[in-house]
Amino acid sequence: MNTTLLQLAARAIRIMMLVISVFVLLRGHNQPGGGFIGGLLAGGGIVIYVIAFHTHQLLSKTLRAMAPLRVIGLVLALGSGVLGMVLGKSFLHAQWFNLNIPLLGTLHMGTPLLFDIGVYLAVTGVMVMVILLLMEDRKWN
Amino acid sequence: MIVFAPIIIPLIFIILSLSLGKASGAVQRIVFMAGNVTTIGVAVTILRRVLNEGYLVAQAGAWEAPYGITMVADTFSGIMLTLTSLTVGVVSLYSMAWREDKLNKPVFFALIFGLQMGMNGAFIAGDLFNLYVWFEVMLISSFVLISYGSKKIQLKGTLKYVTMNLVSSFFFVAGIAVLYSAVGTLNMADLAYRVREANGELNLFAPSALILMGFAVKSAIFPFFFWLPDSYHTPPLPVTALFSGTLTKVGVYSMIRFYSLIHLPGDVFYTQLFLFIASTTMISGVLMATSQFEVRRLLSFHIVSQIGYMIMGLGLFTRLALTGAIFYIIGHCIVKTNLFLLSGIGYKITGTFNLKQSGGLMKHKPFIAILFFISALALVGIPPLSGFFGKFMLIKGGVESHEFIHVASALGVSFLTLFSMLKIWNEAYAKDIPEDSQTQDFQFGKAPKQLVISSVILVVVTLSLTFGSKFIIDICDTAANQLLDIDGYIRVILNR
Amino acid sequence: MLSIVIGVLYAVGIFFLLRRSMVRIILGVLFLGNATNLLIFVTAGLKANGQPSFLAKTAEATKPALSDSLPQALILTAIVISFGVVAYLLTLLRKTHEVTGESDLDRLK
Repeated sequence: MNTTLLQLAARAIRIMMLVISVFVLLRGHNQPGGGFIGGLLAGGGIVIYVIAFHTHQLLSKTLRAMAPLRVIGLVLALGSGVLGMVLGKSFLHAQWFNLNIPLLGTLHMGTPLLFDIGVYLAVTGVMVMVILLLMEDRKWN
Repeated sequence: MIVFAPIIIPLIFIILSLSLGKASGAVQRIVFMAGNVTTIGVAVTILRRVLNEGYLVAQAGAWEAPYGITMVADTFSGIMLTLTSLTVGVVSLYSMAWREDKLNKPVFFALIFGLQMGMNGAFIAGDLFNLYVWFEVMLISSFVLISYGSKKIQLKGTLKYVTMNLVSSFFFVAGIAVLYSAVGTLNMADLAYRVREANGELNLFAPSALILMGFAVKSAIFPFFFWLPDSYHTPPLPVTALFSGTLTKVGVYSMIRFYSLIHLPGDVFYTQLFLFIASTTMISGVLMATSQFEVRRLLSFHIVSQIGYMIMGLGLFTRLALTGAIFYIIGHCIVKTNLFLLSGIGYKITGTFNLKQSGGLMKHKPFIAILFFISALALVGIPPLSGFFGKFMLIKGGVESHEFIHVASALGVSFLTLFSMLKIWNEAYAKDIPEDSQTQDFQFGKAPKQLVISSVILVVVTLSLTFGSKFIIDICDTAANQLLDIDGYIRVILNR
Repeated sequence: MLSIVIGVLYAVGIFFLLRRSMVRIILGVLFLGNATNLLIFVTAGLKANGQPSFLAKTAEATKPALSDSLPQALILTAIVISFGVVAYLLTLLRKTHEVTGESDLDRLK
């Protein structure tokens, strides 16, 4: 699928989808959105890019780059849950705190965000892996 | 807090074994066994605490009971947690010695932990949707495990397994949806509370029928059991042993849990329904088993037949019968896994699973023959062994409830089970090596020590069920009592 | 209206499941999954006045704009699960094709 049109579009689409996915991830706490949807968007962007510039090197490079995301994502999501336990509350108990960022004001932060980021990373990693492995021509075992 | 541990610990070990992809084989195996030992430790701790304190309840995120995700451990869950983690541990030991390269990869270890996480979650889930989610975790791991290795016959079995289980899951979710619209809650304690409050006014026929469909396929009861013998004999033997010991028990556990909640006293319909299912399951399973000559298929049909006994306990729904059913689940899980492990050892020695082609094990490998003898008799329920107590309590419960037809079928099925165990004994152990088969001038293979050790562990557990039967039966009795004491369950979870 | 759609989806799903081709089985599973999600949505989520059903019957009626959010959470979870299952099934399909060169179930012996 090495058409110029798709390649031109794919560059733009990849960046757009990645940015929007982060936006969706961050707005997910009180409005529609969240880690899963954000992860799907990001994964979609990456997959479109790989489809447009389909070469063997790119494919295996992407796969290698995506491999640690699953583990990191799981660790983050699990960690946010265990954090609640460590601090003496129940599993997955949310911990909230205010983060002061100079010039921008305060930000209301908490462990659910950490959980969502974990989900985001894991979903991106797994989705890209599944689609690319299914795309790949070589025999796998 | 410890209630979450059976879920978190396998998850930690999934992450560990996935991230250890590049480490040496020894490290991976050590991590694998460490994970199993930790899970067993957690399960035993929970069982002990539950025996002391009655119930362990935890709310995820500290949301109050009917709204948040509740995790409950009572004695029954404690027993099941201990039982399955023990089985998984022993089978893991076995699988490492099975000498098939694919079974020693980190992905395989992660899948075993995934299966474990799903089962543990299902045992301690406090609401129905959560139960469904854990079912799916367990199922997806089991899908991958059953197709692990991708032999041709295996893929065929996998397709049946996957399709049947997925369809049953959809039925289960549909049941949950209808139930939610009828009752307005999915938390099991709240559900039981509202059902009791409505005092028979609620019409739960459609949801409970749909949910029964879901559980029925998963626990392979009549008439939904055909997928089980068709797919269980295909994967590598350690996987088969693991599935046969644990997976169907999760279905049975959930059935007992769910129907004990909505089962109102004096409700004849469920009693008769479950007793009918129990008898037909027992009879059809054992009749099909008697005509098999492939060890794994024969044993698979026996699983079906013995699920019937467990359902019989649910059908009778008296304290004695439930105690019997729980004791039977314990005995069966261990013995059945062990029979599969032994048939694997037999395969390593004779090179075939077909009974007609094997033989001579009694003469040449008397130790393994003894192991098999004990397990087979325990399965049939010859007095001092573990199957006897469970069956005895079930049958006594049946007689007390005047369900003589079902008692008769349970007894008859016992004899047929004895018959087919004797068939394995005669064909594989007692008779000489068949002369007309190709195996004429072949050497006996060697069974690695680790395989035999894992089987010995399970036989020791079986024997200890005999010698410690008083202790175990007491625990089962507590569990059955808690199952019947729905008001206590509601009180603990909802504080009402 | 939606209930007719659900019925059709179930029928199509089961029809596909009973076909011999493996691709059809995956489609069937997808249809059944979506039918079930819609069923959750209709039976549990779409009430006449959209009162969250965990509120007590006597509680003051909420605004009509507010509906029960639990079924939607359930649907989201179910969608995630069916996503995973379909990914697995596709892999299985490919693997089967690779090993046997068949997509016809009857010839898979």
